[in-house]
Amino acid sequence: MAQDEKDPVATWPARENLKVLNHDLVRVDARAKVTGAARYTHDVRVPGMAYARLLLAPLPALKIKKLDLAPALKIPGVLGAVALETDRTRWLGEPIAAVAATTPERAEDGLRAILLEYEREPWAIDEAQATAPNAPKVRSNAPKVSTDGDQASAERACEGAAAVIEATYTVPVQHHVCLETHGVVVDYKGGDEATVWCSTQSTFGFTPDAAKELGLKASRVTGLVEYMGGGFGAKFGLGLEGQAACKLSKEIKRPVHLMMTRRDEFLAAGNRTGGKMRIKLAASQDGTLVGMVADRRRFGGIGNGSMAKFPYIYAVENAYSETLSVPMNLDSNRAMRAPGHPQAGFGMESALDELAYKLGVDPLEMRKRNLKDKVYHRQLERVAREIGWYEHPHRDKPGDPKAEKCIGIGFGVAVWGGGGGGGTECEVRIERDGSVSAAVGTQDLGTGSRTYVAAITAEELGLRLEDVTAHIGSTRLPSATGSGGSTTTGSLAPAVKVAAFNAARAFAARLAPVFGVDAARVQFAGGEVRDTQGAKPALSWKQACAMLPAEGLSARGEWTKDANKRLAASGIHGAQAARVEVDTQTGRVRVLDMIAMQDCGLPLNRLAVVSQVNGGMVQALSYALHEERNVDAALGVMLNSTMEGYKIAGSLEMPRMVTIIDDEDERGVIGVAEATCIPGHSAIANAVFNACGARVRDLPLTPDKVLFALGKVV
Amino acid sequence: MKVVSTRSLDDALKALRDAGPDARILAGGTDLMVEMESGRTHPALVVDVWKIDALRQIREMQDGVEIGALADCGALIRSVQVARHADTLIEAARTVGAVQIRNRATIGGNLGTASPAADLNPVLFALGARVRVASTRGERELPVEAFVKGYRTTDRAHDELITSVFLPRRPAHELRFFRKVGTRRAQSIAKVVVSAAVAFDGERVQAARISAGSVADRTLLFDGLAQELVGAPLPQAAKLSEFLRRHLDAAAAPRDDVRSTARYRRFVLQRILESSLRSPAQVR
Repeated sequence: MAQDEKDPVATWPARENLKVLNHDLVRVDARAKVTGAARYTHDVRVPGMAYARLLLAPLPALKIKKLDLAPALKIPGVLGAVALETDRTRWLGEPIAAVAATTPERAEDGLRAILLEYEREPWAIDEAQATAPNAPKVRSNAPKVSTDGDQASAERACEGAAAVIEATYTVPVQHHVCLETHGVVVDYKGGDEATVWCSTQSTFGFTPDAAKELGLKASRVTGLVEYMGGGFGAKFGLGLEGQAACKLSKEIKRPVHLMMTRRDEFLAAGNRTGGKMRIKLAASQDGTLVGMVADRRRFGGIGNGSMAKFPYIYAVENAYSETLSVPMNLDSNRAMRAPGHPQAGFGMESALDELAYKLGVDPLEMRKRNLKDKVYHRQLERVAREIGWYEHPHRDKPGDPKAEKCIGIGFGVAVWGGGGGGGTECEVRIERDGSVSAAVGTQDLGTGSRTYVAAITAEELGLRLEDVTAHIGSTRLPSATGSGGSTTTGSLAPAVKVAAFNAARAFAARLAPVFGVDAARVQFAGGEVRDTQGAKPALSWKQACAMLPAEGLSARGEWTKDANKRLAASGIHGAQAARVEVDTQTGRVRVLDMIAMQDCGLPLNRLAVVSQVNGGMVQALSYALHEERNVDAALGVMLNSTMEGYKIAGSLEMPRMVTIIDDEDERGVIGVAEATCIPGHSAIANAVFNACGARVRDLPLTPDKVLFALGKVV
Repeated sequence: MKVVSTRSLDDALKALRDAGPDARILAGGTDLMVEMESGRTHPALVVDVWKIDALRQIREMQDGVEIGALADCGALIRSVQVARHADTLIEAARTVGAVQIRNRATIGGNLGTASPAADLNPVLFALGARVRVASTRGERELPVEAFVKGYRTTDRAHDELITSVFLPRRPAHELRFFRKVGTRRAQSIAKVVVSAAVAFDGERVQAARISAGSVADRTLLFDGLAQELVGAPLPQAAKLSEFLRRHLDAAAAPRDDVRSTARYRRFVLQRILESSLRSPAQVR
């Protein structure tokens, strides 16, 4: 608590005085999750509920001639069907109709019975089709080239430089692969009220749209997100699937459960932008980057795609880039864990790495030379030390590819904002029996927000984590913003902190007469309440709470700019190193170690931070080695819309992972989710080169690409 | 769709006799259920043989081991008899799917589906397995390489059921290996899978059977290659490399698909055979 008696404000105590925060906290919902007691949207069952399935466009572009739902309604068990698109579809997997039935299987039977007649229209689902001279027009508003920097001076800088590399780097379309697919359960039986569960990143983001679809007042619809199984940026808003469920529920006046199948999820629930970057990068003899010219293409399906600006994190004296979206008849990209950054990072980190080896400069030194922010220097040096870079036998040239197994090390860095904003409020309640709750409608994507809502409150009141219950995930609770851009911690933590602080102050004011002192002298610590200077014996927390009236005590707090200044910050870094083993016989890459150093301001829960960073590394490893949407452009289908065809890294692919929290960062709280998934794949690709000289410029680094890159080396 | 489910081999054979050629046999379902779920198959009749426990036994005989067609990968891994006679079969079984799949995927199903990417089949080819099939007309036995006839095609007549696989007793000095290169380390279908058994008389190769999967439309047995090895010591270094290239270029016919490229498969097939044949330490 602040000591300024005149105008006390909420601030974090010195880190060494924290009793709950900045410790390793087992999540409050861990047990419920591992035992299956946690109820996800997928698990919700309400009486009389129907199950729904979606009919997706079987080809990338269709002119619908006839859509007859009547045959579906004749299937036993089918309760209703709605048309979603009756004219034309513009992307592979665009929902056309939805069917509700007594079981999911019957709903699928219903889908099969729908009579759909169509004419195929010309489509473009890969770069070749989309850029062919006679390419079909995918969107009415053709994207324009955007430019950044001065081309002439950038070209000039490259011409006169000591060393130049020119290469093209590509990244695939990756999927979010959330464990829980998208979907909703609409509990509506007619009448003027409804409850809607949604697997979403924003409790308050989908409810108004659900109300609109149901023809109800938003104030009569409750949105619930008790638990949700991953979003990574793909789960904002009601979505087409949510709209379909509401339409069905409204029509049949029964609750409807519509969770997308895994195939639906691959086709119609978003993805990470793929792309292509032609880069010319030039440096002086000492490794200083002097010029860069880049030509970039974003592949975001029907959407625009995203790619962070060049020269990304590095300083380049004269840089110029052109960027163009190449629309295709495929599902739109959506935000995915650091939108645009993993892509741009791969291009930049690879090009810089190539240039370092070309100059014979240690690639770690080359990075430091071109990173102005000294935080990167200490982080890079630390991960380099941890992974054994300074003992590594070949640092400025690759290892001998003639060995059967080659070991290499590579690096990458990250940048992200992670600051918060307004719109989040919290209510802390202290009950007469001594129990405490903190309530805010926010959602927990798996980041551990439920736990730190309780932890911040416990810290403020001098209690243990288990003494506080966090209530989240409901529109009946105080407002909260959606979880995008790693903004949740920066928005939520200050609001909770202020609410708990206000509750403590209000409680102190009530207890002051008991001690016969001023409220500012009443302190909550170690499960007790005491007068900081007086001689009166302390009260136990329970004794103190017993003095409250039956209605207990409650206080509110909200995110304000002022609170944010004291409690939160923005702007994080992060450096990662990877050590790999390349099997030169098969081209297989095995990641042995990944080391991350990450700043995040005040770590609310150290265990959760480590878990976030590990998760980011795993997702990057999987992007590096496995994940890729595969389409057959001629047939107009996705070839790997299953978890068998679309492989993500499994437990046997996991490297030794070490996360070092950068405790030199003394700022307030900052969201950490996204930065963690930016450097890993670049570090792995660079490590493959360091191991054996195979430069793979096209993710994922599948064995065939590694082997044939190696073929050019040997 | 009609499903006939029985615990009796006789009843199953009668059902197959009465059924048309389009009926499908259901054992563990790891192939059939996937086909049905994806809409590639709509069988009018399914004969479910999963509960015929008589087909689940693994028996050690004088001259080898007889493995019931319904022995699943989990059972193979746990079997001491299989460990004694067919250790590479256990290695292969361990690479199939996850535990749940291994507890459903049967050796008979692997043969019956005859996928070119089947993990167990190259081992069965290398070990000289004999396939036993039965129908109401009687029983017959044939070498595994005669049983697998093409892409997902076998010699099984529509009224026949695979009842067991016989593996001959292991010779005294034999180099055996199994290697699979998949997309990831577990739960992935092979890009290339190879298995071999090379028996030695001193330094000289006495007999050899070398097989590979995912490099053609079916599991291959490299007969010509094996015949040329017999009677001499294994060629060394560059000679071995050249020898393999000469044979494999003609014998293998890989293609591009979702899991890998033809070029990669051809290359890695040769490399892993070469490195495996260079490891005489594995001769037991």
